[in-house]
Amino acid sequence: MRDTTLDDVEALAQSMVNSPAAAVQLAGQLQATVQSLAVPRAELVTRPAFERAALWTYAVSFEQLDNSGDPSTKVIELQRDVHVRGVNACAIVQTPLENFELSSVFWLTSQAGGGKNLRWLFDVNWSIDDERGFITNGIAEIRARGVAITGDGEFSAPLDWRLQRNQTIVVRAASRLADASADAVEEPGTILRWLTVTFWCEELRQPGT
Amino acid sequence: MDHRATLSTLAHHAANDPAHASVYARVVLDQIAAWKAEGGEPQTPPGYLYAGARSIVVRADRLAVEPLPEEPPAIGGGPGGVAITTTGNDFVQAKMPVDALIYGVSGYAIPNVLLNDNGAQILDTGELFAFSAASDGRDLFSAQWNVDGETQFTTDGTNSFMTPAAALVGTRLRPRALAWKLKRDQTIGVRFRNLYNAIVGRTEEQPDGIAPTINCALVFYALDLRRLEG
Repeated sequence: MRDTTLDDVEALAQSMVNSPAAAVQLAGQLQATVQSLAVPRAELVTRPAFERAALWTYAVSFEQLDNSGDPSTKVIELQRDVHVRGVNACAIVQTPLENFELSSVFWLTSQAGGGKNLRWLFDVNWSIDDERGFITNGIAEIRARGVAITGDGEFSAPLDWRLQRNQTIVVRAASRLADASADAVEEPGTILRWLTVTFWCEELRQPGT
Repeated sequence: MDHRATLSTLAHHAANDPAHASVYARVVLDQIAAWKAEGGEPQTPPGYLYAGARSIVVRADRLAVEPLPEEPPAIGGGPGGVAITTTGNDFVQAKMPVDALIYGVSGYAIPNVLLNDNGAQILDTGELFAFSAASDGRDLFSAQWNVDGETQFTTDGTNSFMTPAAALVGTRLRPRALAWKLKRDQTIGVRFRNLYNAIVGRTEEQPDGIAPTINCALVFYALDLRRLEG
């Protein structure tokens, strides 16, 4: 059985437009046809180097960022030539169980539009070889909220860097927990426990080299 | 929203509102025209057995938390605790049934009901999901993968380490795009860690804290690379 194609969807939709009466009957079929569309893959299969492409995740890990807002710095040293395609982040706030009411505010805010993965609770920026800052106000390098410049894994904030082995990506991050909740910094034990920033990469090496 | 997702949404609305199905169909046509104007979706090259698209599921059930270094020694923490970026859990292996192209990966975690020592329920799965700020509970566990037990592919260039699945993989709706080829019988190894005790701190006053077990998995989407005969 051949795969469902976009042309199949188009033909069905066209028949529904031509006959609104029949469209009532065909609506369910349209949904099923769209759902059965073959996954896109020709681009992957026909590209020259996918033996080990899009396999790597370069990442930094910040543990127990304090609530002062002062930045911490981590460095990624690339082991190979890569094409960096996107960046994502995830923060984990640790709260004692007795402060569940406070901590639930964080999760509810994330669900309500603050941004998945608690990305609204930290600032971050990055530069290559600690020279060229990409997050700036036009004059100087600044940090931005994670929700504005990183993805959440469901989508990956697009990047398009081709970097060479031994180049570095310098990442700076700071907790903004104190801005989000005064209670958070007054209650002991509430802290931005873990922040990871991940760069999703493709390896540029050709197969067999 | 990408074109596929838009089409899916429109078709869903048409199915739920048949009286206006022809109107939605018109929008579907407009959407397809816009898609094609952008170059369209790559056409499937001939010669592959794509119908056999597979899901390679690597899962861990009833995964318990591991003590963190800063937790009170009474609950297994202290110097002997396990750093948050790693785990004492073994890699779970999956063997490739055919030569395949791995083109995507998603993940999920589902917490199990939390019971007290007497077997009474403390929190159910729905309540436990309230601790997650990511889709499909992907921030409730960390993960890391390797191929044939060799390289760990999440690294800062010096050390390999685990990251929350929310920053490592996508969801079923939006998998992380991958592109790597494996031969039949090669293995993908994945190890997992339950992060509940990193989210809900345990204290000396409340050493039991909240530590449900979770069921979690990474799902790798694979294309069968065997050629059609002839």
